[in-house]
Amino acid sequence: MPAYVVRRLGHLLLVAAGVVVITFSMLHLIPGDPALVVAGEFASDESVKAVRARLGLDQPLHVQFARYVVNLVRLNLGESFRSNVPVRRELALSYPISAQLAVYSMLIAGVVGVPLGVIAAVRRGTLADLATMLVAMAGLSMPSFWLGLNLILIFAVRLGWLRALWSGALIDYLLPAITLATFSVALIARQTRSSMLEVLSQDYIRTARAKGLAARTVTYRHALLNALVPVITVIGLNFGYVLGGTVITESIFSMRGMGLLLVGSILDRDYPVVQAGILVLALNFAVINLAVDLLYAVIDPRIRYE
Amino acid sequence: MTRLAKTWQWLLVVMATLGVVSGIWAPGDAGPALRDVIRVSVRTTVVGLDSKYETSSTVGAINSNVLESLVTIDYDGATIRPQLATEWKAESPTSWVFKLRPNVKFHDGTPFNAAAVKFGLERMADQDSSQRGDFSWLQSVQVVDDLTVRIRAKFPYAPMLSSLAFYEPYIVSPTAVQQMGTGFGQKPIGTGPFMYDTHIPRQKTVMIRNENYWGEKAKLARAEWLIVPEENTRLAALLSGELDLLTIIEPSIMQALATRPQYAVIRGPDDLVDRIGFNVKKKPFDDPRVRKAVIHGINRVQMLATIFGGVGVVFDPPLAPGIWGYDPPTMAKLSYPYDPQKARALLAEAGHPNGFRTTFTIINRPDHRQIGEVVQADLKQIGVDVQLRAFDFATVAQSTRQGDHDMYIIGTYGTGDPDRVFPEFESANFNVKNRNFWSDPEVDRLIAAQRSEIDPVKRLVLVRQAAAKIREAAPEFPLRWRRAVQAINKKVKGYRVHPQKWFLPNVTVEQ
Repeated sequence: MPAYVVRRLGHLLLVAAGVVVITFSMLHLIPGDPALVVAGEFASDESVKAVRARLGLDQPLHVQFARYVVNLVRLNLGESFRSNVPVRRELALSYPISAQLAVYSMLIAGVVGVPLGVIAAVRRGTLADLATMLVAMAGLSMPSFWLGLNLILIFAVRLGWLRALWSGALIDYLLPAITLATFSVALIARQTRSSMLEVLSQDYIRTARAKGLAARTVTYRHALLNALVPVITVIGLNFGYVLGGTVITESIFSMRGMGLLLVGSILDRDYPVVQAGILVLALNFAVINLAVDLLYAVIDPRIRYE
Repeated sequence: MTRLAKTWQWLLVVMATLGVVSGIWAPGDAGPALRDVIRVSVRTTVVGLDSKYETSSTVGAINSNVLESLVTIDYDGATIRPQLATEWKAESPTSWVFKLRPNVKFHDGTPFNAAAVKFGLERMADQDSSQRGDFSWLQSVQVVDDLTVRIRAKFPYAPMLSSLAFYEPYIVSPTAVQQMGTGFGQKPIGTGPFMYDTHIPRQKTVMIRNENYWGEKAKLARAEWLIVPEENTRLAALLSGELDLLTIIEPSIMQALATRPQYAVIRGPDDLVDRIGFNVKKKPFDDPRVRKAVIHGINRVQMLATIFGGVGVVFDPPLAPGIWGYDPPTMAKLSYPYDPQKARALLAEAGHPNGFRTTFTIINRPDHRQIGEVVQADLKQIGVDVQLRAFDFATVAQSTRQGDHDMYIIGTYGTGDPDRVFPEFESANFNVKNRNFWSDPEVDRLIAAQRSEIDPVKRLVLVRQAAAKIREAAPEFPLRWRRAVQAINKKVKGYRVHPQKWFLPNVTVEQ
């Protein structure tokens, strides 16, 4: 197992290197001059030139790349072109927001989605199954801007219980987390249901029932635990996706998460922020994948990593 | 009478008594209790706040509470009033002397004086300043004594005072700029009635009352500017009481608020004009008849009603009604009204009886897409096949600068001095302000002449001559002169719409 983890961490470095190269080249390939954005649309040619020199964009591409990599190795992410704020601070403002949002929405999604899937599987073909899957279908199809706005209208405007504008308090994460979780609940419920159905048809479940174990024990101890592996994959993938920034939800709730930061920075051609942001997100995704793989072994002792 | 009804009766009596008693015990002043904070929504992302680098109208409007210039513009968008200068006079066509306001201190305690003015103005003309183009006239700022400066221009420059008022050459604390370095842009230090407290880029900006302000102190202790990107969220937050003022609103919000008496939609002159330009380097727009045909082919009056909610004024190029020198007698009737028949005739005359194909470069955002679709549909009627090319701002800014475009949409000014608009028609400004790449030696001469003409009567003649020539050539045309439309909770008192400022010092908010 340790050898496996070390090997996977090595892969992580490769991923990082790939992301660095790809982000850098794509950013410099797309049209749009950061110096023009910084200097202003109507800035004189000499102003633009001065800004380009100040940002180091007048250097040949390979020099810029070398500079970026050297700084990166020293863990220096540079300063935002647009705000002149250290990129580290820009990320420190946005990352925790996205991370919290991801954790809360996945908690809600897991806590609601897994039991729903179990119920649907155990009562397969009944009204409960149908109702659960209908709800899941609705959750999958509901656009987040519609759901988010309606939650705001109900809970902030009509009832006055919660805020429409995110202000950083824990309670302010509730509505955006629900908005995001709705989609994931549906995914998780459906995944749980199908893998539960598969497990429930196995011989050892029949054996467990024949032994006279309580239905509850059979369902949760014997079936669910075995059915969880694919569910965890879905949760892990979804987690990475949510963490990567959910521009629409962030925008509706006015949260400056990774999504809005990255989209804004791409539009501004703020190279340092985009490069660092994407690198952080890619590493995050890779780490989550690793964690999910390791979790398999914890849940299912038959899985061993050499 | 039932027992329940009796209980209710008693309750009413008790409540009424309590009401009277609390009325007696309430403090003597009659007015409602006031809140000490106002919350204002901002639509576009605010990153930095230093006007040397940030030219967005949003940043300028927020800054107007914290930073001050020598002179400032009144609510009408035209009258220039003293701010940090108390009086001024022209010594010669290229030299002005300003007397400065005594006993003024910056928020960091640095005294405001002639040296600070010199520092602040020269900073705007720095090599890397985004405002450099607007201060290219500036020759020097000379410290005469502690409270007097002499400003010299490189050539006789009629709109000098307007430049100082409209382009926000804010006078900032020289010590703060030196000490804070690039951090200054996150917390500019000025002399205004508010001072910056915290600024979280892309999220919110908080300012607090400057207790040592030289003039009447701000009534509110605190103002919070929150970036709320989503239109519907802004509306919801206004309705839920989380926002008190929405600085820019769309027609949909105007409709939603029409039935809610607790809120008001307020209007005033705006500084912005939406216009469409032709790249005259490209065929067929080198032919003025084709340009005129296109303008005649677009129903601008209907566009104002349908997509701009009737907000604004349609006018002829090049000067908006809010600009000094605007010529009502000739402009009362549009020179280029919607007239598809005339458009087709002009096209035929220019050798395009069956129309032509062209592109229209827009920024990929809802308002531009709407405009693009209407232009596309209208021009189809006269046989012009328009392909929309929508990109993000950075791409559009670069490609129009390089002259890759055919038709494009861009903003310009709608109030103040005509010389804010004329650079768009000068050959010296190709690539920069002139993206039509249109020029005319006579217009170049007239623009230069009006710029240097100090006598307003003579200048007006030159301005109108230049405007008439530009109108005749039609290298671009306006869609509308905007009107500022904002929404407030009626608990907000004392707020007025200003074309360039979101000015809060006179504002109070009832509990």
